[in-house]
Amino acid sequence: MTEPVPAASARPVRVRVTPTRVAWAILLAAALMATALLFGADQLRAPALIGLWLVAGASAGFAQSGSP
Amino acid sequence: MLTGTLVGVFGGLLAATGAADFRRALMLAAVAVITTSSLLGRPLQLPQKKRLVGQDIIARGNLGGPFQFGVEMGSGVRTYLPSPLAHGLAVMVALTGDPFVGILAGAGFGLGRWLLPAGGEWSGDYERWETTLLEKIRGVERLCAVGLIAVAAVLFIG
Repeated sequence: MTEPVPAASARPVRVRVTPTRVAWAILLAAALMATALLFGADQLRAPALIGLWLVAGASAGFAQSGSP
Repeated sequence: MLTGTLVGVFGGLLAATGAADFRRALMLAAVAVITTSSLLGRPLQLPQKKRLVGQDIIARGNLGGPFQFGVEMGSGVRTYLPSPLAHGLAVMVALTGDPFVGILAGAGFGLGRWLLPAGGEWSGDYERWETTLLEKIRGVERLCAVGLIAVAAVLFIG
């Protein structure tokens, strides 16, 4: 007979959201879009281009977070 | 998005003036200087309004007040820009001379600004989020500068 698994061990892992992690996520999105644009199939080019401009905007926008 | 569209139209008009190679080189140099200054932790002080939109505007009417607040802050009529990356983005949009690109970049800029309150909500502790942000703002700006440099490199050089 096996011992029952304690309920605490089944708790989902919660990643803490921090400003640095959000900035890394934007950077990762930029890398993904750039990879899709440079090496992806032709059908991916237009959405990747749109995504790149959105990410460029998000980079500039999130950098303003220190504004009063 | 409004500013982005206007910058895109301005870039289109600029493209009609000729000297494309020289203009392109000059604008790319401007983007490089702006992003590098952020990367080095010494952001350039570029022209901006340095005025806040009054909170009382929001209380004026159900829709008109918040709309005016958003337009004034989003278009830079009254806002603070602690990072010059917004100027770098504007130069990149002007370089394309495409209003549609301006709309996309403007929507992305709004998304980036929205991530500040949204991230605070997601973190579950807004006060801690704000404290961390103020401590790490230079690092955050550096990462954002790397993102913008990567996008510029892929779009204009790659």
